[in-house]
Amino acid sequence: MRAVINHYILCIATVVCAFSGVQMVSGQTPYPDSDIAIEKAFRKQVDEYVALRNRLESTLPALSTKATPEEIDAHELKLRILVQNARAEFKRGSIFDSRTAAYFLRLIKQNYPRKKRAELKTAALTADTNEVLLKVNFPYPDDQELLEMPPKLLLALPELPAELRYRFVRKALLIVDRENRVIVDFMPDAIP
Amino acid sequence: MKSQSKFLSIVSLIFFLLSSSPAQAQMSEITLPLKDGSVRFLAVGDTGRGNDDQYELGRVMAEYHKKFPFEFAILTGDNIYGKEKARDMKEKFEDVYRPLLDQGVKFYASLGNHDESNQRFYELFNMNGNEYFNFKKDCVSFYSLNSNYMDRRQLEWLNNTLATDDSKWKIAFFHHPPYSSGKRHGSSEDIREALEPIFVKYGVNVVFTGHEHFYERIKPQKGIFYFITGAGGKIRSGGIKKDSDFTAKGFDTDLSFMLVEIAGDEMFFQVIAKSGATVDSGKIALPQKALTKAAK
Ligand SMILES: [Fe+2]
Repeated sequence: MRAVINHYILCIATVVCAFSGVQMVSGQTPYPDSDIAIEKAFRKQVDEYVALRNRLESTLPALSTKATPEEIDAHELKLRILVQNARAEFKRGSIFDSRTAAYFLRLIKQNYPRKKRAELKTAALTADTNEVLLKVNFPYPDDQELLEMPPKLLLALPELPAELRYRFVRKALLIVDRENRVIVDFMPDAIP
Repeated sequence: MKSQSKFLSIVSLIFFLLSSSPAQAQMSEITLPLKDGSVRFLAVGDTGRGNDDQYELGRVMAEYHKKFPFEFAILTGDNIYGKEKARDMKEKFEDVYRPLLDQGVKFYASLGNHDESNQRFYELFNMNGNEYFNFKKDCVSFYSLNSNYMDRRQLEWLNNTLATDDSKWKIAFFHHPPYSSGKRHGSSEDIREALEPIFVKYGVNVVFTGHEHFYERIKPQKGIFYFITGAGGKIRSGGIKKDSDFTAKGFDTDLSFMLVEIAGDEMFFQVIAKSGATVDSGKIALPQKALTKAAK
């Protein structure tokens, strides 16, 4: 009986949080999904993006591995426009929903010590990324720095398909397409 | 009489201007042995600015190529700063090194924090679509790595490729220096932590990096020789800490590049400044352990 009551309390709390926009942080609030389920959902979203962009890319002439700069420019631009049009309705949070963002925060905290996180925060805030507009479906400008991702974090975070990259911009963690530079999604305040 | 002295001053002025041109006047003697059948290359990083200094250094490189005909060049990243449109590739790379490209010098690039991944498709960077890759020149195996995104996939590839690599010399080049006495960036400890155990395990002998805009030869660390050669486009004057334990030799007052020759069990290097002066040179011998292993 007690378990049933607890279950109802949890459901009500989840609904309240969902409607009020409050983030449920794992470890602080009971959370029904396991980490595996969160990762699975994350991968599903990521794979869906990759399937879409690969399908769109297959409609373009293949880019040679010995291309001219003009061919590289043209391919990048065409692919970007195709992806942007196909994802015009996408908003922030399609991949980093609140549960996933909380999970990522926990992973970063657990796998990257406080001192390192402070260094990373300083590096991210002083990097030459001021002109990166944090907007889903916008391109990461080609003249902005790509701050190096700490290998330790890359090993701790869910691995992305080769087409995608994690990038820190100021305090946010982005997922960016490495070929068309589209910002696929991002979570703000990603360095705890 | 007056017109004669005027003529003489003009002649001396022209002579002075010609003789002060860095590519002609202060060329150092080549200290490299130029042995038959040796592997010869140039190493430089942080080049892609398209500024006057980069062009001037490019001309000095071309002059040295006449004396020391290197077959290829390795780029340690930040190949193109700022925009990376077709015209930038031309102005910040192709036009700068045109004399070398015309002589058939091949450039092998690695990616820095200012480089788009799409550079891997650019024909003249010889990356064949890969952000990290391996190529061999006689007894030397080169590993171009992407230190800007050292993920599991790349680390596995590096482990697997090195595990079956029986080359006498194993050389890695990438952007972020595992050891550095730079005041601005300093050692990239995360990269060191990820790569050094692999380098030690599989006997990587020499590492070339950039990111810091100066030249530094690091005292050997765990048997590995590290060089920072990131003064290819802009100098960070006074960028090297004076009291660093890492420094074997530092040079931070002019742009520079490295000329390298590998002949058998020995690697020779000579570091040339934009002024044409030699600022460092030396020889590295393959350790006995590597020699025994390579002989098997
Ligand atoms: Fe750099």
